[in-house]
Amino acid sequence: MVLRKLMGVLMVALIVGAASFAVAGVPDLGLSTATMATSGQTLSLFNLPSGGGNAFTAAYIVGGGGQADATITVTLNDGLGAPIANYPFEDITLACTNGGQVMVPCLGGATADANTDASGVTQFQTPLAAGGWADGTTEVLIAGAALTSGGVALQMNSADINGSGNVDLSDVSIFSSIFYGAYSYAADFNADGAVTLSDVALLASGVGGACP
Amino acid sequence: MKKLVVLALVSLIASSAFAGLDGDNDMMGIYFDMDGNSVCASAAFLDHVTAYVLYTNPTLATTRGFELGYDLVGATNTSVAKAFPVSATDVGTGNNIIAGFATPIATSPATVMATLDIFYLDFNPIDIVLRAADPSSNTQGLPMVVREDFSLMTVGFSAPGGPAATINGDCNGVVDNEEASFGSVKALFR
Repeated sequence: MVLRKLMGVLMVALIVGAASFAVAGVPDLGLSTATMATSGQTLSLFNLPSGGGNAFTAAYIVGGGGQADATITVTLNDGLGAPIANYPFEDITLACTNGGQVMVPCLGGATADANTDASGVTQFQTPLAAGGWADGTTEVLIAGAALTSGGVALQMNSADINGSGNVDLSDVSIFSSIFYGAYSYAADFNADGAVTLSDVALLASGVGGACP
Repeated sequence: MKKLVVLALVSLIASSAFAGLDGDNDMMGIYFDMDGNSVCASAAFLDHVTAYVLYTNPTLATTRGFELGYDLVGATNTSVAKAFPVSATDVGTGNNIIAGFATPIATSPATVMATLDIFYLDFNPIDIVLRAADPSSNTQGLPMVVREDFSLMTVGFSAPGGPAATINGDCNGVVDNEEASFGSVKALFR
């Protein structure tokens, strides 16, 4: 009888111990968080495949109204709610999609700025190396899986309109068709609601550029 | 006294062939020299005439592009080719320039924004009249330049309401040879 009780206690301890071991140090997609520096507004980030686009601190306010800080701060916690330190930045990435629209990062072009610190925190602040465009939300992916808290209100576009990894004549042609045709966010690089000379200049700043 | 009057008249007449830079800040015009002095040119059939789109007396230290329209009044066959001071993307069609520079350029009192190669294929005078680009990025009917931060600023026309420059046209009675003009004025007093 006593032996049976002891065996039961031992089994429970093993199970609990195993469960704890399984979640410790492993990011929990529900307990980890991502927040954008500016709340209450939808922002837009202009990217270039060369990495020479806007930093997150200089994102455009959608609809005009200047620029605002879109820095994304990620806090990684494990299943026990403990912060995960030194999680590799290469496995913390961004995705921005909306239906068929997609931000297309260059290889390693949409990763966090650094490994997580002792508090499990890292940020996205430096410009991405990316093309393509999407006017949806931006999600943080941990090893390819999105946080369950949902995305932040950040849209993205690029002088590399077709997401080919280059800003070339194809993109100039697409831009021109939008400039002289119906409005599309794809060419509204400063997100002011109109495709104008400012966007021509932003396009020009990226022509000839390519993924590293 | 007569000599003084003649000298004064000559200087007035000679100066009208050479416009000089518009004194106002942030103006845009087309000139036949890079200093903004000449708005009159002579050309024979098949001549190439070089003209410059100048952004004059700028308040900006640098610029990343501009938009401007121009009409060649009196032209039937004359064509224009454009070149920019740095690599640029120009989405303007016809006689419209809507250009973004790949890199910002530093400005000067007469900043060359574009060089026009006017291939003169007509036999009559041509007046160059400036207007806003079509389509325009503003509703004020003015040309624009791009600031360093990619925002836009309207600028003025060097010659609002009239020709900015002319090829073989009327330079308000001015000839481009100072001795000839002096002689013709002297003849008035014989």
